[in-house]
Amino acid sequence: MNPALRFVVLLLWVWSPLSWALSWQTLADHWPDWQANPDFVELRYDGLLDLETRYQGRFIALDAEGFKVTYSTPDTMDIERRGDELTLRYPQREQRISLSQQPGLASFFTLFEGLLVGQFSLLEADYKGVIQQDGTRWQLRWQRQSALSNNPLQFIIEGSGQQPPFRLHRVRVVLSQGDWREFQFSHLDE
Amino acid sequence: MMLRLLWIVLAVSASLLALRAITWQQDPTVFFPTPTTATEQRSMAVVSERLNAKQESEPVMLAVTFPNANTDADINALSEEIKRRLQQADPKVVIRNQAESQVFDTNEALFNARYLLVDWSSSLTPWQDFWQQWQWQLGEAKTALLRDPSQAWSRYLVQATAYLSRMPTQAVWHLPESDGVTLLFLLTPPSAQALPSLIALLEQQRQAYPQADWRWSSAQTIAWQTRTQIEASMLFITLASLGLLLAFLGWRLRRIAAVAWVFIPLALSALFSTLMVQWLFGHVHPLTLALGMVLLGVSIDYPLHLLLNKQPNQAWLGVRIAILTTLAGYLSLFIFSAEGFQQLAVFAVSGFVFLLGLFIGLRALKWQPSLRDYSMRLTRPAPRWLGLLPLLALLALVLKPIHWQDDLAALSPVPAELLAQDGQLRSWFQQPQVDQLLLVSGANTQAVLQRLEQLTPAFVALQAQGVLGASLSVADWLPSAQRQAQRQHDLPTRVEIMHALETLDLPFRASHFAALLADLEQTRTADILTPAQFEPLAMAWQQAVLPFLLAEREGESVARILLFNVQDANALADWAQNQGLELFVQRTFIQTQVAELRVTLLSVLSGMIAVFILALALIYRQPVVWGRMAFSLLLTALTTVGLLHAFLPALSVFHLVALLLVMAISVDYAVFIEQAKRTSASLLSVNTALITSLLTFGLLLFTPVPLLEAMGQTLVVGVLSAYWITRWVHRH
Repeated sequence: MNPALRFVVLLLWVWSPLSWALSWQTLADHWPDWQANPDFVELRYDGLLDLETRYQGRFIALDAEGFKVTYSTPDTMDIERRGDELTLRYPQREQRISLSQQPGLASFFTLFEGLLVGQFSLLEADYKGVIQQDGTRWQLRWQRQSALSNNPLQFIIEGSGQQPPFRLHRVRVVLSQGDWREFQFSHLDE
Repeated sequence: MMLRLLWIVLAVSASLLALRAITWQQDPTVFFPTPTTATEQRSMAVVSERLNAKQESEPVMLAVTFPNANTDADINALSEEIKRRLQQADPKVVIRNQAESQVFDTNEALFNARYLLVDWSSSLTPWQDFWQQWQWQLGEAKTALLRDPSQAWSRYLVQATAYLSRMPTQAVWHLPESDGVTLLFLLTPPSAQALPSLIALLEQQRQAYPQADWRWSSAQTIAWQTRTQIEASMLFITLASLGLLLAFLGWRLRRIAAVAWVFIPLALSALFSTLMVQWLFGHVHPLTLALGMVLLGVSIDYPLHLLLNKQPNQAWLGVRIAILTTLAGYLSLFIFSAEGFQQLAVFAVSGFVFLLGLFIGLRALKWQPSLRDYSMRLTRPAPRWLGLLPLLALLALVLKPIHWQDDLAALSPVPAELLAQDGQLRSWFQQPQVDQLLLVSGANTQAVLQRLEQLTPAFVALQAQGVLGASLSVADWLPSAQRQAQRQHDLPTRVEIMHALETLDLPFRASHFAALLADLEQTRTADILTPAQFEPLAMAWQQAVLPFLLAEREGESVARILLFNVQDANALADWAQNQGLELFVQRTFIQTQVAELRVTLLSVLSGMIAVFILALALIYRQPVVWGRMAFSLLLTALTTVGLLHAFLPALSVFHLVALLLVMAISVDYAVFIEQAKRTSASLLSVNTALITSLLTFGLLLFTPVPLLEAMGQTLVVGVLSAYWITRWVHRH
């Protein structure tokens, strides 16, 4: 191809809407950095009690070993995952759970960690993912495929940015019986 | 001739048809001495129940090690591959290699009794804990939590399966190793009969998949491998000795009819004896048949003596004396109170009664093949130096104390590696120790349950100290009536519950807990669960073990506590002693029983020799004659035991059992040699009998089965001693 023609094609590609479309690979490559230990607000809706509760806390990455979530409001509480062990620290007691003995819980944490670090391959076995883009806002929607599974029905992640750095605003986990949880981040980007 | 043949064929056919009605008894404890103390009775019941339970199909533990696998994907793929390989062929085994949590969720009856089985709450702040749990629950789990806010059911399941706490509960059971991974499978064949096919299938897979290390074990596979080895050995020995015997007798007697005449009485008497035991006891133990055939084996000498003697009347007299003396000696077997030995006594005595009747009949009918006229064969006197043998034997007995090997495990043909592998797999699969457990007895089940409850903290301490990995008793599944009643009394009321929720300002209404409140009300008025009421409600895996864990017998209740992964047997024994508990150690118990059996066998042996001498004294009357015969008997016993003792590291009960036959043979030799001396006849029949005995029993020396080898050693040394000592005594 003529070099001049090749240059024109390249310019057209760069300016075309196709080049603006987000790809899974781009998102995964430039996924927001959780090492920044972001603060969050968590809303929980309990369908059975018809009750919405607001929590505040912080995600703390623990290198490759796992992560820790520290809640400060309304009650103080820590959740820490290190390898196979999950520790729940309440103000007056501590509960340790071996995830290998709780396959359901282990599966949930594996999926959630997949989302946190942008490792989408961990979700692909059970969930079908769709990207929707509206201007600079984008949404990843992971829909559970199996009716028999006890895992969450949906994971919905909303963020912004047409190109890196991307910013992540909220993660909504849709559970059965009308329950849901939503994590809102004020500042979480690459 | 044809008529005779027809009679024989008819008799054998009728006996063989009757044999089809034989019921085989499997419990080898019938050969143990009758327990005299309550402790012995409890231990014997454990052994007996375990041996009988082994007849049912039990899972085979299979461990397959893959050196190069380590990722989860590898593990899952290899697990599927192995399952596919095992399921594509017969037998259709049930394969388990992951936790079956759904088993726990399906028992509604036991779930309804959960507040009797465990405390209402394990926490001082149950509702605060509940709220914390609530916020963690996902979806449907919250409905379950409303019905069981203190999670009593899950606490019960954790308590009931605490002995499995180290069992891998990942999706696929496996053990990570430094260089690869070991996958674990439990294989349940459709029946115990399918076990050989399963072992063949596993062998086939081991060949087809050499890159992996295949190991499997269960009590049944070990028993099967041992039995197969013994059967193969016995088949070889039987065929080889039969071939040698036929060849020798064919050469000696030169007539097929004569050879048949030697064998048929033995075969018919064995058939008759078996049927007699079946008729009197309602069943026959295979060991009765095996040991009975050994005792009956001496009868092959009688037709030989009748055939190979030039003086038929004298020969018949000798045979009658030999049969009656042996019969009288075998009557002493009735001294044993153990059923197995009673069977053996009936087998031996009825066999000899039958033989006597048969020979009387044969003589009356003159059914005896004629042989060519044997020329008188002079036998040279026994050398003088043979007299040194009893002296040497006596010297050996005086100088070196006898070491008795009462540990049957040491005489087991099971290779030590196979037992070590079984121990390793039991540890991996969290199987209980087969060789030891604790026994707690009491006047009734409630007394036993309360005692077990008192012991629970001590078991926790033992586990913490590393003495044992885990334990399982019926109290882990069913509390005592006293504790259940206390729990009923402690259950919270509706008012108390609602008050606690209001105090914590939790967003729940009474309607949320309708199911819980109904359950509490029902539990408050429910009947206390007794073991009999608990068993039908229990889960299948509990029902399978419950009858063993708690047994009612002879006015007392006995609980058996299963032990897992015992690390410090001495510490456990000390602790059990301090607690006043009975520690059942199978190997030690069987060793004690065998030692008792040995003492009884020695009494029987002494009694038998005394009866032999008494019978000979009554028959021969002349003190010189019966004294000479008695002397040869005693010297034979002394020489046999002394020589065996001199050359073997230890003697066992199997040497003593074989010595019973040696004594019977020795009596026969004494009678026949005495008769030959009186009538100046040759010793052809005795020489022939000696060679047949050596051909038959000599091959036992080449078996890998220690107990058969012990019998072979005794019989070879004993038969030779009996022959030469008797001849040496009679030279004077």
